[in-house]
Amino acid sequence: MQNIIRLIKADATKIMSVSIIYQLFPIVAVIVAFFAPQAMPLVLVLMVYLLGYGLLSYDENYHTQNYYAFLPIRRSEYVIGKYAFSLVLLVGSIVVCFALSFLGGMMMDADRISNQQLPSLYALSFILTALYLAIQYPFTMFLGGVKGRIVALVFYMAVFSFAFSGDILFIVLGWLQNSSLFLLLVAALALYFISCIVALNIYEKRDIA
Amino acid sequence: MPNSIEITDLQKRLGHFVLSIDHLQVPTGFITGFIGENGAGKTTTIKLILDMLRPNRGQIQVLGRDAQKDGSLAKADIGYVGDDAGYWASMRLRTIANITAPFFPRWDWALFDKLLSRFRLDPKAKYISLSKGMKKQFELVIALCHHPKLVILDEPTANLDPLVRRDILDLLLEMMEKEEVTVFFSTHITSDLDHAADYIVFLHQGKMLLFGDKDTIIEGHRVVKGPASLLSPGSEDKFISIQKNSFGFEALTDDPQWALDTFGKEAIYERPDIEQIFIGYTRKEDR
Repeated sequence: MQNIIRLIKADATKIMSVSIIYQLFPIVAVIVAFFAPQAMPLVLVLMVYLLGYGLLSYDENYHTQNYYAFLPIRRSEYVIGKYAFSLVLLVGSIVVCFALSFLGGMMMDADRISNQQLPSLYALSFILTALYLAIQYPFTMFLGGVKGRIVALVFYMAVFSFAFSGDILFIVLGWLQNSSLFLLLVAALALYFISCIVALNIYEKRDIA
Repeated sequence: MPNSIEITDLQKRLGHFVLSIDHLQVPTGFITGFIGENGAGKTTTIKLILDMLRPNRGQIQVLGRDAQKDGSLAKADIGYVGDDAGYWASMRLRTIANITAPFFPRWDWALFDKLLSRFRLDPKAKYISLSKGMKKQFELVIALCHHPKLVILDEPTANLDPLVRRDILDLLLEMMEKEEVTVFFSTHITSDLDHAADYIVFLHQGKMLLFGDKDTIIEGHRVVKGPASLLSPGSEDKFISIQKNSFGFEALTDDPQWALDTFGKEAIYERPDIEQIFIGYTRKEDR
């Protein structure tokens, strides 16, 4: 457990030094959360992709795996650390962005998502991001950083961008408000954990350098 | 005293290349030089020891632990300098150390500062701004700051100027004197090991050719030089390797007494260095 916490801290520190884009994106996210929360599902998926999955891909492409191989950590701790970091990032982002969206809803006139719809919106964001990562991480563990990134792009651009443009978002939100949101959240989280187990099995067997 | 590294019946396939080591022991408390040409399998062996690669067959014990099952526990006592450290290029040296230190219970900040100062490295400098030699020096600092029991170095002095190479080797020898550290040092620059190594291992095309105490190996071999007329078909076959030209022959033997008895004062006998022994064995293997 201690090593996983250290790995999460290491990834958080890495974000500050890898690229300026990694540091700017959270700022973009909070601005969008305040002014245009209807875009948050796409923004959150992209942000967690960049900051969470992006660091994994960076490890694969720039031989950072060599550094982790030198540390006294198990392979399983490395994988769990990546999943945990992304989850912490996602949950933390949702909390902050939800608060900003709520504030924006109170301060601005509404040609935007109403505050009543915000819980469904952010639940949808969590579900989409968790599903996205649940699919993406095992692919990257199996294929490596370069091929994994191509798969990531296909999933993001072809599936999420298309599916949630225009009025489709409001239709989905309406359906979510009538459904058991809690069960859907639990299902997304369960899939995320199953993905972690799959990724663990892949990573245990493969050559990492 | 148990060995720091024990390899048994190891095999690893990477494409067409096959690494195959029947038995290798790295004695505790000594410097073992791991010599091989480019592509011999040195880095592959080291990555298998560190569980970066998984073997197709065989067992590796590191500091008494199975490298695959419990290797992570052993790594708290291992310092490693590889061909590519994997540090984040734009990160400052101090930040890299701040991230690394919590993983090692015996991390020594005083030693970190002292070694940085010795190598004249600025802790606020970014890793990407360092020269090749300075990067290697920093990697060695990180590897040594947690007082490891085993230091594994994968060609740490390759492509470095003689001054930096000497600095790195001197530091290793100092660490050996102060603490009981085992060093496993892979290189194709044999001159680095001539005065530093206690044991040497020769690796060629994925196979181990020779292993033993360096001084014993050197004393057990001679380079024999003489006119071609001294040679006979029977005597040629007894050499490990032989080179002939219009002036005569130069050959390597692992039986100096036989050579002396056979050629007497007609030939010249020289103590070989590690490079000559290595070249001799690889030529024998390639015949």
